[in-house]
This record gives sequence, C-alpha cells and structure tokens, in this order.
Amino acid sequence: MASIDDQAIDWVARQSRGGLDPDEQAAFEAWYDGDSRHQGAYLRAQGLWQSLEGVRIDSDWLVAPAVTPRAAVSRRDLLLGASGLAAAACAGGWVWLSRPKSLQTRVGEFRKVPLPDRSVASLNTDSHVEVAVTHEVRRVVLVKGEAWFAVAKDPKKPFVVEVDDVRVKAVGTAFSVRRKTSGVEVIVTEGTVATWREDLHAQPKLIQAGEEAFVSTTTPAIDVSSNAQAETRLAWRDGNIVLQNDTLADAVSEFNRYNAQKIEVADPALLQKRFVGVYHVDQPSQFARAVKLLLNIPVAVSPQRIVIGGPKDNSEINTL
Amino acid sequence: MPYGKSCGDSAPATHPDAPRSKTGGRGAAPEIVTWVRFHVIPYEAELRRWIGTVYYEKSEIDDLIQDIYFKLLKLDSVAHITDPRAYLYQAARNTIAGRLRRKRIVSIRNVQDLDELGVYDGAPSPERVAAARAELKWVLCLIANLPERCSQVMKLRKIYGLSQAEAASRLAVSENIIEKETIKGVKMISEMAKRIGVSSSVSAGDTGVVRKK
Repeated sequence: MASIDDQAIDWVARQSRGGLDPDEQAAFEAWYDGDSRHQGAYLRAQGLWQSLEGVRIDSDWLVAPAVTPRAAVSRRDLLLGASGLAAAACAGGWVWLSRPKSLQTRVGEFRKVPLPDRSVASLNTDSHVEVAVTHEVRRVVLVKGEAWFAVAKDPKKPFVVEVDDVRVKAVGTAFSVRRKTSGVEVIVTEGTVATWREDLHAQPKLIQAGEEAFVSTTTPAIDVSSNAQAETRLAWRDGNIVLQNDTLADAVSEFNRYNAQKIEVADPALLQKRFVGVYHVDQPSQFARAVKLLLNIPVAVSPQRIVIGGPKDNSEINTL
Repeated sequence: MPYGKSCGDSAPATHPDAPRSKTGGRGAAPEIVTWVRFHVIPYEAELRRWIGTVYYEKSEIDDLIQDIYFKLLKLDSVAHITDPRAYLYQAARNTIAGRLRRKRIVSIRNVQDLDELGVYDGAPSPERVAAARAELKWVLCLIANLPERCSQVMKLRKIYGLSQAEAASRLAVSENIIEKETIKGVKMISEMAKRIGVSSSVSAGDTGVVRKK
C-alpha cells in the first residue's frame, strides 16, 4: 500500500496528464473525501508538483541540457539558431549561443543560478554579473560585488571572468572573484585558475586550490598566498559570516555589506578588538548582542542602525 | 525585508496543471497551492524536526503534518498572512494541541512542556529575503540528488521545460519511461522534502550539480 503522500502524488500526476474519466473521477473523489489526511497530502502534492513544474530557466538559456544531445531538434533549438544568427551578425564572428544575461542581487540577497553550460554562479550581496556563452568561450563580466563559480568541465571552452582588465580563466574548477576598490580578489577552492591583466603583457599567474590572489589594478603585482580559510571566506554561500580572530572593524564592514541596518562603532578604541564566531549575515543585532556581552559595553539598536560603544541619541534607539 | 512580496516576481499565480475544475471542486485554491509551495514545503523538514522535539509519538508525525496541510487547505485566502513562518508554526501548535486534547489521556512524556509549543526559537535564514529564489535553489538541490536517470529526466522536464515527447527523444527512451521517471522523481523529492529543508541545501559541486552538505 502506497503511502498517503504517494497516493496524492499519483492523483496529481494523473490529473496533470489530462482529465480523469468518470470512473477515475469517482475514485478520486472517494479517496479525497474519505480522509482529511488525504486532503492535506493532496495540497502538499499540488504544491510539490507546482514547485517542480515551476523550475524554469529563462528560455534564452536553453542551450545545452546536461545530457547527450540527440539528432532530434527541438523547437527551442530552432529558435536559438535563429537568434544566434542575428547575434553573430552584430558580434563580428562571435556566435552567441545565448544572449548575454544579466544577474543581479540587492543588498542582503543571495542568488545561486545554474548557467547554461551546467556551471553554477553564486552571487553574494549587492553584486552584478553579465554572462555570455559562445562556441569558443564562456565569458562572465563581474560588474560589481562578488561571485563564486563552480565551473562545469569543458576543456574546449574556457570559462573566463572579467573584472575591468583583470582576467581569471578556469577550465573546470571552483573559485570566487570579488571586486575591490584597488583590485580583484580571487579565491580558488578546487582545481587551478590562471589570472592576468589584459592591459599588461605579463605571464598569467596560476592559482591552485587553497590559494588566493590579489590582482592589483594600480600596480602590476599579483600577490598569491595560501589560504587555509577559503571555506571560511566563502561562508556567505551558506548565509554565514565566520569570524576567526577578526577585528571589530573588519567584522562591521562585513555585516554592513549585507544589511541596510548599518553597524557603527562609536568608540574607535574598540575597532581593534578581535572576535571569533559564526553569525547569520542578516542578523547584525545578534552579532551586536555578542559584542555587548563580551566587552560589556552599551549597544543601541534602531531600525536604521546599530551603535556599538555608547548611544549618542537616546530618543531614536532602544538599548539591547 | 520584502519577504512576502518577493515570490510574486517569479511565481505563477495559478497553475495550468492543477485547476480546481479538473478536480471536481476539490483541492485548494491556486493561491493557496502557490503559498504552500513557497512558504511551507521547503520548510517542512525543519518543521518536522521541531515537532520531533516537542511531540514524542514519532509514528504520528506524518499524520500531524497532513493535518497541518489540511488546515491550510481550508483557508479562504492567504493574503492576510504577513509572517508565513509564524503562521505555519502557530498552525502546527494548534494541530498538536488539538490532537492532544482528543487523546484525552496525555502521556507526560508526550510533550515536554505544552507552553513550549508556542516558542519557536529558530533564527530566520538569510534566504528569507527571497523566498522564490530560496525555493528554486532548494528544488534544484533535491533534483541533483536524485539517481542519475531520474535526475536527467527531471532536469529536462522541469528545468528545461521540455515536453514529455521532447524529453523522450533527447534521451532516446519511450514517453512512458519519461512519465514513470517523472512520477518516481516527484515521489523521491516528496520524501527528501521531509528531511532536507531550505537551510540544509547549500554548496555546489564542480559539475554544476548541487549536493547536500
């Protein structure tokens, strides 16, 4: 005897295939009316079905489903062929398999997006990337913020991230790229990437898993160092901020990346205090509470801001 | 945080495959189904764990969950629900309390402390800011965890939106097999949803599939 949940799924599946015949309809009604648990399970099955039906990647990304292509040509391939020709005409030799695609997040938002080549891009808070896949290259422009990429292996089609003149190239690997004011930070968690500056004629630098690089945009230097804390630095993918003996100054700037409710430190002497812990990125007040308890200092919270180290304006704020 | 609103931008308001007319007036309004899809199913695993900590008759948890869905089914509208999580846990609390009342004899171990039922102390997850995206990520994770063939079929059908016939020709199998694999996939995901919730489905592998931690 199938479980109630499975019975409910069977009914939803049969109904989605087309109308039930009168006998089936009667059987369904008897099943449905017979038990309130059946009705609950039926709602759940409808929600699940919709959830699975509702997963859709934009149709202009429908390039290469992750299975062996067959001779059969679908409607979508034909449509893509047509738009590809149009794009080739204006892109001077490039054949676009998909139109450049813009992905953005707002402050406090995360987004994990499957790319048409089976790679996955995770966008951190307040970030913006443009993705284009052609026959020759998979090209991602990091316009703003930070993104982590799990790159599907495809030796024939390098995966290149561009930040201004800085290039980060991977074949099949996982790495993050973050745009900073004076350069670009690259953290490699799997495989190897090559990075270089397009405007300089220098050899690309190879960065291995477990290393990070800072590609300066003001000097020609590319600093590579080992990074035992790569997973910590990428904790944002899990919605966490991990502090490992980090200063309050660093912790505050990290929280402020994610939240409209900004943390301010009233007493500069506190900025060099160090902290350890795992916090939710969207819970700055949880962190502030920990700081208050650890340092035994006043912390004041209002919807707009959190002031560590003494409230200045009592009318606006509530003490934690 | 525009939690309640954010699912509007990608959520279809109604679903063509599940209109009430086909079900003879039975089933929930499309609005309720969509709400359940975004705000309940991805959090069911977490809800089950919470119930497990306050309700000791483990054999009855499935029934309780179905009762909770039944309560949601009976709603006329979800427009008034501003905090879906608080609402869900309140519904769970009422359902547990009702069940205990019906039992009349309550084992002292049944519930740690009846008052505790009202207190849910879980921190909100960051995905809350975008329910629709959280749900998408979660579903993709579950699909990636299916057995190979089943996962392929679900990806083609549900992610790439191919018809049954198109998926069949892609994989060089019969439509019948595609249909069977689809139903099998939904059933496996239904079981996974009982254990793996939104907050436990993160991290990705190097092939673009998402695997559970």
